[in-house]
Amino acid sequence: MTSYDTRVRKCYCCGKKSEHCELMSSNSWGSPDLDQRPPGMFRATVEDWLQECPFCGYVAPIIDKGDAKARSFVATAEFRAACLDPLADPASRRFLVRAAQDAYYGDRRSAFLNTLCAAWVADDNKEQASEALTLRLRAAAHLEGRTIKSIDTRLLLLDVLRRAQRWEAAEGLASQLAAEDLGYPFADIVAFHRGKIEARDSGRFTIARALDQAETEEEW
Amino acid sequence: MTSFYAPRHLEHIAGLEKRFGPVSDEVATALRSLVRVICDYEDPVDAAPFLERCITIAESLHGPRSVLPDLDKWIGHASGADFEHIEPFQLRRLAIKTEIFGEDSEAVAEECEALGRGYASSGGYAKARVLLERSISIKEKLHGAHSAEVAAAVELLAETSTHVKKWTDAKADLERSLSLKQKVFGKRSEEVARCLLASAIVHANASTRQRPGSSRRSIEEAVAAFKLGLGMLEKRFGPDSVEVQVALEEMIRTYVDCRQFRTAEPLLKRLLSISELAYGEDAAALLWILAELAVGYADAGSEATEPMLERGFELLQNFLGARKPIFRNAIMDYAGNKSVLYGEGVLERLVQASEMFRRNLSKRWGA
Repeated sequence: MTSYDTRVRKCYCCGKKSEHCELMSSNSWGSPDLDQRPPGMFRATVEDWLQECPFCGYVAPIIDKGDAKARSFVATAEFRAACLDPLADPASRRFLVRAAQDAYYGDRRSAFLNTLCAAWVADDNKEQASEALTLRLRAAAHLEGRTIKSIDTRLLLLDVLRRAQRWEAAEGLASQLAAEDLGYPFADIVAFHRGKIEARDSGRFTIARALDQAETEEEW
Repeated sequence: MTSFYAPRHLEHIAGLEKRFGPVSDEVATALRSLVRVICDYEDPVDAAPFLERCITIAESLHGPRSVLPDLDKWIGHASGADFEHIEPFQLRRLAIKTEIFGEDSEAVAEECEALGRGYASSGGYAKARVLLERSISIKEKLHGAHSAEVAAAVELLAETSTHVKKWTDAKADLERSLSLKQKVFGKRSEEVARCLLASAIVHANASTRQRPGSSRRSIEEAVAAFKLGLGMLEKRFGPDSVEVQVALEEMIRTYVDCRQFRTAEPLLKRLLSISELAYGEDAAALLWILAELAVGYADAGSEATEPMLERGFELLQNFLGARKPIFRNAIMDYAGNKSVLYGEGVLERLVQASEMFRRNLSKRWGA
């Protein structure tokens, strides 16, 4: 069961107090999606993963916590630009502000993950389907231009590219991963993606589904 | 008897005994020569029976004061031997000093401290405590209860209980030391700061032998004492000073040993950032910090593991690269912690973190 509590927090950046509805507990039974979006009730709590100060716009998991970087970022043009992002949904915007802070300080993976979270918010609103696709492309853009060694990040990126219908880029990445002899369970997931890319399927799938399919194919 | 020199000397001494009598200066001098030869060329412990005979004769002829130089010399030579061999002679020296100088004298206090150290290093903690307390009591009478001398004696007591891991005693001793140092040196003095840092280490260590509730309280006490002590060092030496770095490193290593990574993490991050600024982003000094962060994050299944691992391996590769190796003497010239590549097992820590990370990653992706 998901439970919430209302708490007053003093902003780490401006020091002003504001009330926030905080996630206290939830559950995530089942298999996550191929982009690691959690299952169960926790899945639906994505809008509550970040708090925003209503006075200065500072965004953090808990706004009374932060570091020197957070304080200096609030004074940058990048922060102001992210706050004014034309996206309608406030939850998406919070993730984008956070991603802008990550990108500003060179943490590309976190910027990618936070932009992906913004896409998840858009996924939940049928009217924002095109926005979800745009956000996935923006997420992928954070990782462009440098070789990524991390298997985890590349598997996430593979799903992001496939769901954003960047078929060529997705196939390129899948081929690169397949050539690496990654072993179980990573190789099975890559094989599943390759099948879906070939079929031009940009749908949402869980990790369990991908591994089940690999197992079934092996039995055959 | 294992001494090569003893048989000939003893033959000569037997002749002297016949001629001058067994209790004579001649016999004592010959025995003293034998002791010196054994100390210079053989194991000083082998000279113990001859020293015993020598000082018995000298004491009966010239009184206890006359044997002190012989005892001092032999104890000095035998300082590397097991304490059980030295103990009887040190006890004898203490008894003589007490007789000559009186109980309340600097000489007796010093002897008590030396004996206390010996007992502490050989498992005689209870005896060590009695002697160190005796030294404190003497110094209180000589210099006053609130004096630098007494503060140093109490510090020695605290160091001893800490060294033998008697955490309950160590906590009480450090509290006593802290209160005294505040009065003697001032509440914001360096001595008080260092005492607080020592208290923090003791509190953290004590937490490992307690039940969860008490353990948490001990860690909270450690965090509070460390914050206070570090704050004083920061004001005195500067926030990025070597003194602050050393204090951070000691506390981090204690927390890591006590499996308190969460508490160590902010200190590791702070030391990493200081070291990056002080020594550069590719300095050997960063390696152990990156390795500890990687192991801690991997153990907690955190996403922060991978960047730490990547950076750690990349940095290590700079030092171990086959194409352009950096030799040990060059590494020794690097600023910062020079032992990072040798003897500290950085590679092993990184590999350990890497294996943990790989297991966590497989689980994350459904294995």
